[in-house]
Amino acid sequence: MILTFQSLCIGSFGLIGLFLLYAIAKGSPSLRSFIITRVLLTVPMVWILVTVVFLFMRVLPGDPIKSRMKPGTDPTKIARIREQLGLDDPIYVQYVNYLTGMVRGDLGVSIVGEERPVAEQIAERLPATIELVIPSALLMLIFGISSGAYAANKHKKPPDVVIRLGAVFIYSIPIFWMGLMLQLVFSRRLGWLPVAGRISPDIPLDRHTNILLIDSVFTDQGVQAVLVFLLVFVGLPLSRIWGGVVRRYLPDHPSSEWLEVWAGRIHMVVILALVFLISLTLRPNWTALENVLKHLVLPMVTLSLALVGVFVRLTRANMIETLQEDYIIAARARGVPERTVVYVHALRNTFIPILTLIGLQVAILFAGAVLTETTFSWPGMGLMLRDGIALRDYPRVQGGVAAFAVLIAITTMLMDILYAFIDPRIRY
Amino acid sequence: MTAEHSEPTSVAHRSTRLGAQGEPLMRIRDLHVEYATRRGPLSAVDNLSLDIYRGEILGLVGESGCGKSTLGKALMRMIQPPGQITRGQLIFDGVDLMTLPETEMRKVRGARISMIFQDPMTSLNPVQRIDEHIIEAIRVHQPEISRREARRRAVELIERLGIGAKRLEDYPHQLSGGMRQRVMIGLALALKADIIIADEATTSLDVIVEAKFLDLLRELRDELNLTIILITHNIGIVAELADRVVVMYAGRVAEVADVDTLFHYPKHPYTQGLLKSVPNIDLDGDELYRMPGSPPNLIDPPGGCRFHPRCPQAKPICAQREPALAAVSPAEGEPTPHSEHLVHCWLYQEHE
Ligand SMILES: Nc1ncnc2c1ncn2[C@@H]1O[C@H](COP(=O)(O)OP(=O)(O)O)[C@@H](O)[C@H]1O
Ligand SMILES: [Mg+2]
Repeated sequence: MILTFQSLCIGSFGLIGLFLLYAIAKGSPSLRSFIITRVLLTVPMVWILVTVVFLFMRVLPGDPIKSRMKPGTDPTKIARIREQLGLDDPIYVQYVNYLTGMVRGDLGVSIVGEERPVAEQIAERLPATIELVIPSALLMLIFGISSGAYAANKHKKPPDVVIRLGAVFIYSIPIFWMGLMLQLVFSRRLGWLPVAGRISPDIPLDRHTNILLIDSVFTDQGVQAVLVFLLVFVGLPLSRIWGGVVRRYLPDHPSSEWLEVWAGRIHMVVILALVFLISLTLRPNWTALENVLKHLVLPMVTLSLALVGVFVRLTRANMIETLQEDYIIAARARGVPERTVVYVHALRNTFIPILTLIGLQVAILFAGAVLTETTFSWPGMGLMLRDGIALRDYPRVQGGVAAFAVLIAITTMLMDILYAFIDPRIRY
Repeated sequence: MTAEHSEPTSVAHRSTRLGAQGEPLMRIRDLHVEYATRRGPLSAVDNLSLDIYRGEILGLVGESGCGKSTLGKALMRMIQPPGQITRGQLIFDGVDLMTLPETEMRKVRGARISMIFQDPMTSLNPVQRIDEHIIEAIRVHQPEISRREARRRAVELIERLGIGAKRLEDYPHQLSGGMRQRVMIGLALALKADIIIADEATTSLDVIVEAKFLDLLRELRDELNLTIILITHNIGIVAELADRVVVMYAGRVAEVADVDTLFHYPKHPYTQGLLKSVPNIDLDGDELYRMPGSPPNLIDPPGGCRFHPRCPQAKPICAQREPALAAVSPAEGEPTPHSEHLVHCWLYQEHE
């Protein structure tokens, strides 16, 4: 079995690395130094974040050991447990231990319930959170940006007013309340969708990656998954080289002109055909897939609604501003069709500030994920954190929050770099 | 309106550039443009009629706020809300542009009438490469041209304008102001438009770059028989470059004449004031003439001649009735003008 959560992580980091290398190789010297600085800066940033988490945990009121012991427990026993956990060491020793452990991927061991390594628990829960967060973010972006752009195009007309008011309304609803209401209507009243969880317990499904959508599509060998992955992320982008190749190596001739345009397209069609052929060899677990999707709908909608208001308003405001720009008016004066002016020229320029907002909203997205997971008993990192807090399981909360911090730091870094990469004006 | 391009007129025609002879390329008739404002409609262009001839460089001057840009945009029907062309005809090549549906009008913009905007810094899309701009401009109007062919034309064009073809791969911010303005000309020329409207196109350039830019415009006009409408508040540029000059005041034409006549024998008191207030380096520290008053508020303009409150020679009739824009004949000892000399002033018209 090639397809595991671990291999997925390695694959994604590999892709990110490739992208960074590409950007460094292709970018201007200033972009290059920006990327390198930004990547290097992430290290102290993560360090500060985990330090804050550490300090925060120390100043929290309540004693984790006493609180889980019955009153009147032998104080020597308590002392022995404290010693075992290293809680009686001076704080700087604890801090050094914490940091060195973290570097080795050791986040300590739960002190409540089953005493399992926190890192192991995170590895188990992270896929669920990812399965919730990524589709929600995509849904939110697609919905938010398109309706924001549409509203801007209909500035001051009824659709604009409706979208604007709708965005404020949605934005002002607390996320857990929204989740509860959706549950009430669609699960309890109408009975269309399951109330909670990721998959019904009676559905058999082998969990390789624990990202259930992937598991139910790629039920057996991960080979297909890897092939599809490579074809889509490496093969498709390669179709862009043909224009350059033809221009450089073939003589000026009508047929090479034809090739220049069509070689790339043929390449894409071939890749897509291959993907299609591979997909024929898949044996998806349809029942599981359907079940998983049904479980995903409500949490996904809840989480994306929580953030969509910001994106609608930002896209709209930016777009209205962009549509006033001289270059937009100049494009119209050149006879560029209105649709192209709005949805290509203006939207492309609007997209850049939105990208920074995505970076800024990642933290809020994860916070929303914690709330959503709690509402829908979605067994991800959020639920793990909540349980950890309720049980005063020190290491678990500390490790969980630190993991979130690292995730946020990395995503923000990627967004910043992508922003610099896309916007030709940025020069650091 | 026709899809086919009319062939550039022959050299023979060009020699008549200064004359009002021949069929005008564009005839503007009774043009009214209004902006809806909170305090009522603002009449930015009022009952304006004007002929534009092929191959001429027509200077359009006047204080700022007198409606020059509005007129320029109106010629392409590019007035954005809250503005609106409320009345008038724009007869271009035999067709009234005002009667065209928007989709047909779009085919005129950029292909037959183009515009060079004031600020080359902001008039190019910052995330679009220079070649993409030009290729798009060509292919929007002629989709049958392949990208490769369009690019080849872009290279030709940009080299003609004195920019290296390598620059095509740059983004706008990588070019200097002068280069960007030349790119703007390139965009305007990409489809060999008949009329190019340059609205304060040199305002943001330094003097030397400006001079080069103006030379280039003149060369291109001579080479391609372009018709250029040069909107500016810089009288010097007009004196240097224009064949004919239109002086606008408060949304109306005050005076039209060929450049020599206008500068040497201005008739309208406004033109006279305007010319006197041009700084001149030869002057030995004389106080610059400053025209009294300021342009009127166009929401509630003065009745009669809109200039009368500021006019040193105003008569009772001036406040009561608007004069016509009528031809004047040269006074004693003045040479015959090269083209019709029109003045919008009671001083030169009979009245009871
Ligand atoms: N978008 C607009 N809304 C309201 N009034 C406008 C607008 N644009 C221009 N105007 C008014 O129209 C008049 C003419 O403006 P404009 O054509 O820009 O003059 P110029 O180019 O000669 O400086 C001015 O009085 C100006 O205030
Ligand atoms: Mg202006």
